[in-house]
Amino acid sequence: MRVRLGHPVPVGAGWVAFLGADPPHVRLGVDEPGGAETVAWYAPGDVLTVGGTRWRVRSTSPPPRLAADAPPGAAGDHVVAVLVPADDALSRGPGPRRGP
Amino acid sequence: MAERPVQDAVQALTSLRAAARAELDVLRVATAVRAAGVTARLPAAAAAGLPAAAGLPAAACLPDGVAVPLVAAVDSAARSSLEAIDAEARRLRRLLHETPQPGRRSPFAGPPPPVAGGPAPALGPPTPGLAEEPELAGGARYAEHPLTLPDTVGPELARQGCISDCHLVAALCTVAGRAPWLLPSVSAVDGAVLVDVPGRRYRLRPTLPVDDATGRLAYAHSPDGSTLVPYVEKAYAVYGGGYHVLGQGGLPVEALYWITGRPSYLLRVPKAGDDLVAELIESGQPVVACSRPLGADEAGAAAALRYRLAPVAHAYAITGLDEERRVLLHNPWGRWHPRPVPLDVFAELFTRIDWCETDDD
Repeated sequence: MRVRLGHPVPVGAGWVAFLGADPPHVRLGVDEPGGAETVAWYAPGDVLTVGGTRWRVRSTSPPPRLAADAPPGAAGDHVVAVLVPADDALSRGPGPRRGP
Repeated sequence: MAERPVQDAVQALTSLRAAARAELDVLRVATAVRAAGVTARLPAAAAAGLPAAAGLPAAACLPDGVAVPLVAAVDSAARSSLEAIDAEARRLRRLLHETPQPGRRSPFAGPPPPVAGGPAPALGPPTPGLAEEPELAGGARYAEHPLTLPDTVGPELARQGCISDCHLVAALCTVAGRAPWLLPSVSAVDGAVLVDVPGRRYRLRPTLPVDDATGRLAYAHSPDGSTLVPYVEKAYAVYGGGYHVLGQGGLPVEALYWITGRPSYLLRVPKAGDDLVAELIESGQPVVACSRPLGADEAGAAAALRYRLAPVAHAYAITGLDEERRVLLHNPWGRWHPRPVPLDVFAELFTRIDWCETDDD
């Protein structure tokens, strides 16, 4: 599952969106089917749950540098995080760093 | 012809539809409750030796088994009433879009008709052949989807899907919220879907992009599942050269012009001053705010966190100012809406406001 810069991506019944970067951390918003929104920082190896399914952050990538007057949506296809299904061993890894 | 009365009529119909739907919902519940009460009380009344009608309103004296047909009849009447209102609103919107606007011509329209000696110009755009299916971005395929119209129209009408076309979706959100009579007219005709925008008509196959894996609508959609928005997005993809092109971002001012045909402008926020920005927001015209890439510097990244702004170059529909003169923004993602942004901070984080006029007055 690739989380992209310019739009939320559906993950099962939920949605994940990119909300910030502090390399190697990325700030991801998770919108659960019931409407509950959570936001947290994640680094490679962290695990998050979306729609009842657990995913591990395999890699992160900061957004490219854009001009100040870049049109809205520019570079929206850039992949900022790659999520893979979490198996039992990996899911015991570190959790997310909670942010504001 | 005068457009203002038609606009007023469309707005009145939109309000009437919302009020009628609310009333009909109440009526349906009341009918269901009353019918259920009757079916429960009739056997009890019979057992007590009372006439069937004792203590019950005349209209409630119904034989067992009528409860469900009664509710179905109410549903059917409600559906017919709402469809009649929808049809009239569609007719009026088409009238608005097909009315030539004197003194102004779409730069995207074809060459003007000859001044004299040629055929009389057509009042409405001709019906074109079926448009080629616009090229998709990755991970999607086309699937048949009938046209369905939304129950209500407001900023929540459109939600961005898995394509980076916030410029179009934010424009749709603000037009839906502030000038719904300017929304494109969309109708199903002869197995195709017609999308009418000023000066152009798109004849589309009744198919929409869906996610390869899940079969859900892949790109723009509405929370109520109606398909007006994805068909408008599809027409814009035909206009723009494909979904993969829309996904590279774009200018809301172009989307506003394409949707409404009205004079459309951009305001450079850092040079404008707070009062001008506030005046534009409070004018009631459709307005889209464009943020700069906020993740590029520390101050921008901190502001993005504080106000829940996406750290990218992003378009938001502006819904108004609050009582503290802070800008209220609607995220076209349909979620993670920003916190209200003070005007002075807004001037630092946003590069421009794209907007269009709602009438020619």
